[in-house]
Amino acid sequence: MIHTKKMSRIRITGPKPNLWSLINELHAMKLMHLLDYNGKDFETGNSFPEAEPVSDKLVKLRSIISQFNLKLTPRIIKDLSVCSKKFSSIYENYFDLTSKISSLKEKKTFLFSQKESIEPFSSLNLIPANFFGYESISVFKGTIKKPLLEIEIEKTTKDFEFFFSEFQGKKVIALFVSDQFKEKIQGLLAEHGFSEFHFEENSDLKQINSDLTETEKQLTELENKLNELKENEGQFLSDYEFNLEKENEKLEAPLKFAVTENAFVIDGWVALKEAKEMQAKLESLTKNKIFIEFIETKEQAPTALENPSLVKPFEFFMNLYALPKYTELDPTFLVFITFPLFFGFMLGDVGYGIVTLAAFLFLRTKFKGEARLLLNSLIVASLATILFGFVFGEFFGFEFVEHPLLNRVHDLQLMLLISILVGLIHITLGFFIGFYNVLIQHGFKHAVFEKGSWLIIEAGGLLVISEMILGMTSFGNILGGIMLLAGIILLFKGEGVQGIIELPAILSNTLSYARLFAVGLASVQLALIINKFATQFFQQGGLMIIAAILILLLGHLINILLGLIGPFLHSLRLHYVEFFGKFYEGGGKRFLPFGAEKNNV
Amino acid sequence: MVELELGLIAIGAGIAIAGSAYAAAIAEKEIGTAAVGAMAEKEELFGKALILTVIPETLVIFGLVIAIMILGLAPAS
Repeated sequence: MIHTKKMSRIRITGPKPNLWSLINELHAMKLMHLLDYNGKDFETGNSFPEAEPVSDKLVKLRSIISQFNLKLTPRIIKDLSVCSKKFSSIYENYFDLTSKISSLKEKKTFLFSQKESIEPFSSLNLIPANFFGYESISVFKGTIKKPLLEIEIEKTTKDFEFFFSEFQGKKVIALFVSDQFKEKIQGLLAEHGFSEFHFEENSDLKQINSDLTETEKQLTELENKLNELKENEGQFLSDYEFNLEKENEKLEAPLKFAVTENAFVIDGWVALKEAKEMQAKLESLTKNKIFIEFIETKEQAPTALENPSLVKPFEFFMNLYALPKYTELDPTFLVFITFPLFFGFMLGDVGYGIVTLAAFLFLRTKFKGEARLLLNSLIVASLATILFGFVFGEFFGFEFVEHPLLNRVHDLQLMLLISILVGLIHITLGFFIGFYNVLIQHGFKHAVFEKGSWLIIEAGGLLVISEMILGMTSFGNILGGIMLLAGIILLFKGEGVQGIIELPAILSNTLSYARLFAVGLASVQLALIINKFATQFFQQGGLMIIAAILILLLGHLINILLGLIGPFLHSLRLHYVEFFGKFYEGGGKRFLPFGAEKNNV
Repeated sequence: MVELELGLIAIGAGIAIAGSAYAAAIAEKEIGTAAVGAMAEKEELFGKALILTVIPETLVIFGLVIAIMILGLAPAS
């Protein structure tokens, strides 16, 4: 629980004919984290020859799946061999449909642009044939942006024919001039933002319109067929992709292994608990043709967190931050204890606790995976909120207990003191864990220099405070001073100048825990204001009662939302910054057994 | 003139909060912008980005502590 899962390094050597059955077994066991071979003595293996058609199919499958935008839950297929034929017929069908659709779409765009060019001239009684067949006349047909007057053309020539009409908000012109003025007119038109229409001499608007309807009809028909294909075969495609991916994993596994002409070496990590069992199983499977050895190594093993189901949701916070290294302590259990406490201490209201609990319980049924872990941890936090609600005697901001254990609104100084004390304890705990971490990683001397020094400084500081501020002791100044000095010297030896620079941080870190009561105070004051406001409306009676109820509902809803974000982030921050800062390094590699789902945390 | 003193004390406490909150806001704005930028490139940075962004929040806490100390100067009513 406190430690990450114990791992043992394992190396499997065997003859190549056994490789495929071994890979199959390893994949099914989901126990071994494979390591890439990157030594120089052997070559790395090649994937099995079947891998190429499989990955080729995968590419096709994925392109269809992304085109169809499929988001179905895949199921296990027992026998993959029958699927291949089914898939190729589906793919053929799909390819045929999509290529037909795309060519029809092209045709539609073309017809549409033809229609758009020819249609405007129908109001001018011009048909396409009118624009062609001249020897010495230039024809301009198209739209302009700025209006063009005949006088402007007359400046160039008087010998022209000009048609103009407005069609669906566009200014459409047809201009016939003698060839010799072609360039000048072109220039003039360019100034007016001319863009030309293109169509054929023998185009016929009626024909185009009927072609267009026909194309659209065909298009809908094909798109319906494509949709049908998606509906009918979507599940199969998802299943096939999922299972084929697994197959591919197996076929490409030898890329990680070291091989010789006739033998292979597989290197990896297995959880210590399961290692012996796995060894026995594999050896009996291959009739003792493979050799399994356990290797002593100083290399960092991959990290697998191991927590009871109640604590497990809090692994979410470790995933969010960084996984602990194999040799580090796994702080999930500590987060499990303090995160809900901090959260509850800040939100601390029976009513809010019940509302959020109900909301999280409801949301929990809607989500899976990571989000579910988060919701589970928030449920624990909601329970803590209810608990602290009783301590503070608050129900939606109303004080339902006459003399609660603690009154957040009036006992400000006491609340501040409690917060700081909690901080002091939390930080000290962090240093102790840090001490332990350094102890098991680098030995006692380093632990004393790096973390013990901080503990001594802390104790010294407390002694000084005990005499100077509290006046409780008469020896605090002298003893505390000596301890402070000793601590600082040790710290300097352990962490150098950097450690000295960080000295004031211990004060700011402790004070930072004042947020524990500050966030709660803001939340409870807001609740009080909402209640006060609503009470005034209630007293007026009549219709105002409805307004009062609305104010209560809306006000508390907003306050709960704020109250969720605030305490959540602040509690998280106290862990990540103040607490983890004292001991946590992180950066562990996730233990990912061969054959297990990659996104399954 | 007890009221005037009380008022000045209240204003003092207010300034302590306002000043520190403003400072924290400026600092968080800068860090938050950079953090979101980094996260757009690499989503796994969320945890680290969050931590860096909330670090200046401690400034407000200092302001709050000072404010409470100033309020402590007020005569008990």
